[in-house]
Amino acid sequence: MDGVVALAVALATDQDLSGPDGDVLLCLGEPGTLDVSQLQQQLNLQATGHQWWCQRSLSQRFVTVGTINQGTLSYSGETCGCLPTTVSRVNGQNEISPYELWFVHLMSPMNSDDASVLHTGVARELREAVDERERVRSNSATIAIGDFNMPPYSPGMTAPTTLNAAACKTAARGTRTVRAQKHNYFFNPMWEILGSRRSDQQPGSFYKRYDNSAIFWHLYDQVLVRPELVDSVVTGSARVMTTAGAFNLLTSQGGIDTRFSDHLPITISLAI
Amino acid sequence: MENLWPNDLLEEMSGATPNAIETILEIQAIGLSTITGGLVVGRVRDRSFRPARAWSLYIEPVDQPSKAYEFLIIRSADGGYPVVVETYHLADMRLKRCESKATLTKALQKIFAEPSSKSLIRTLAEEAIAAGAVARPEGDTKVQSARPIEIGPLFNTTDGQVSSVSMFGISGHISDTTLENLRDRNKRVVEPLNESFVVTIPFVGTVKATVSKEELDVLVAQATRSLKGY
Repeated sequence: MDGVVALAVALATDQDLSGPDGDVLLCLGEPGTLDVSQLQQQLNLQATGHQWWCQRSLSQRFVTVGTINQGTLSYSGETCGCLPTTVSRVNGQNEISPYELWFVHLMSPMNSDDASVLHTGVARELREAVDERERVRSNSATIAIGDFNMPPYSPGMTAPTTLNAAACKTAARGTRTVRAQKHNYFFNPMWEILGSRRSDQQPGSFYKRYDNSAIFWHLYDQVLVRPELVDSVVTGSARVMTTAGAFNLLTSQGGIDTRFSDHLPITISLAI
Repeated sequence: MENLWPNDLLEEMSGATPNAIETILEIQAIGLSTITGGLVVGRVRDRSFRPARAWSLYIEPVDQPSKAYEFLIIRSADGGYPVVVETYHLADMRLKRCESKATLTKALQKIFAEPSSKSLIRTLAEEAIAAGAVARPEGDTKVQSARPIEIGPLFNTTDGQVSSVSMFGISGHISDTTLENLRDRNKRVVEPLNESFVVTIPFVGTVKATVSKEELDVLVAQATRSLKGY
């Protein structure tokens, strides 16, 4: 609870992330028995100046926390183990802009016979669900964020019939034609973090030493945006956080302090 | 014209043939409707990408497909056993591998009996009742095709309070006044037409609709004709 409060407060007070109004929309995946009403109470006590709200999803697998007007979020069902919502942003005199926001938690390939096949399967299911929501809502301004349980270079992320997520902004603006069928891209801004260790950032969001791989830090938590939102992504804003206010989310050896979570939180800023 | 099918057409079936995985799930979808008095309905969606096969069981409050919840998915490498059942809301037993129809049946029984599964279905039943549905003792095994309707909460804009709306394939925003008129079934908004109703909704700002290539051609042709004055 304390770590979550510290994280939410840190986001609201960092204007680089939350803008001048401290706009925050935070999603906790698999929150277990976290007391949502107590969390809301703590946030309103410790981060005054904002109207904090917390909401648990129907499946109990997601808790959304925010300072943005809760009324601007329109939830419908859950699919693929993910939570989609429509966020309507009101920017001054401009017309209202809706965004299709997906909080993602795809299945872990651990214990599966073939991780690659599983990645491809679940990514394709998510892609189809995203496409369907875009059709139903007549809106292709989609953002998907969360634990994809696969790295940015996995076939599930990059294959045309799966999420088709490009590392390059220029490439992502076009379409990809494979066997006479057009596929829209996603842009994956998380690529810039891969392998980049900084004083305030680890080169991934999840640490595990698999027997068959030299990669120990894994970037399973990612953000994907549709081409029309490429220019809205604040350059360099994709981050893996290692602190939450006064809390260090890492152990003294640099691993993840699992008292908070087994994943490090990721953030992204969008000028919307 | 008389029926030409022979009466003994199915006589040779042993009855012991294992049900197809999809059929097992279809039976559960129908069973859910029966057991909830028609308040919560199930739908099976084929999500296969051949040769792999996958079927999802979606559940929703009756007449509210926009609230469809993907309850579980069964994946198979080739359409047969073994299969893996992923039940999204069961954190501790999210994945179950089943080697046969018997183990799949047992797994589904266990999944459906979980307190969190029951709680989820009760929530959807309450949503159905809140929207005016009435439980029928014998249930309703036939799922009517309903169109998705979704209205979000009110929020402030420079145009006043509005709500995000998505229904019948169109999306946009409507004002609090329109919502009040709808709630009150005000004559300016809701008018009877035989067994149905005509609903007139003014949208704030733009209205978006998803159309096919053929529909776009018709729209463009009709717009062109209209501009020419006929």
